[in-house]
Amino acid sequence: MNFQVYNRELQVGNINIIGVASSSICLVGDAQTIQLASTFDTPAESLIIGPFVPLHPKI
Amino acid sequence: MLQRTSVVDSVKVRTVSFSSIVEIGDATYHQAFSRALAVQRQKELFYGTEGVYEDYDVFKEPIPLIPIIENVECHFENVKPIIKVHHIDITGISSSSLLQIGNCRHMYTEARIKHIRQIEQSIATEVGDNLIQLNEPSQLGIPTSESPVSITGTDIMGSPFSGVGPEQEQ
Repeated sequence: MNFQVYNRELQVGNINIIGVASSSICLVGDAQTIQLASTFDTPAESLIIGPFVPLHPKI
Repeated sequence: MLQRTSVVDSVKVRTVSFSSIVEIGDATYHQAFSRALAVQRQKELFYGTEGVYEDYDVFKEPIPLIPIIENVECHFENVKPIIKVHHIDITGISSSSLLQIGNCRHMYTEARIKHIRQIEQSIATEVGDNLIQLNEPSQLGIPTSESPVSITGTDIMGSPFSGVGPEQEQ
């Protein structure tokens, strides 16, 4: 496969970002490879209803 | 490739935290990793030393990276070798994140996050590392009117979707 790119003029006014978080990237420039991976677990699966006990009780 | 120059007139970043980076200039590799165990409790309570990442699957499961088999011939022609940005305004950069003005050859980052909510209730059954309530929704004291959502996710017998097959649709 052939991939031909012509980088002509690239001009941006303002970039306004509230947050770049959790291994994210804000890049002004070129890159050859970018690989971003993320895993996330949130309720209902991790909802605990019961007495307040430590997550991992240590003896 | 990677021949263009990045020109940013002004940058304003208020917070850079938790192993984050602001890089001005080129780099060859960027690799970042962040783990977070976010616990919210109904009561103001923290035991101090609790919480082990290895107890949870999100921190252990492998992330498959499918290899690129196809041969790609890349050709770049930088007619105007400049990337111009007038102003960048970022409130916060956090948890192994990156703001880079410049080129970077290879970038790899990973984030693994687990959220846990703990709500007080005296009756509970122990399941693995978590204490998960296994009672019917009506026993939780929450007003429910035949909620189709199962709290535990294990009992699907009474599911409105059971018995619904494609042959019944027509």
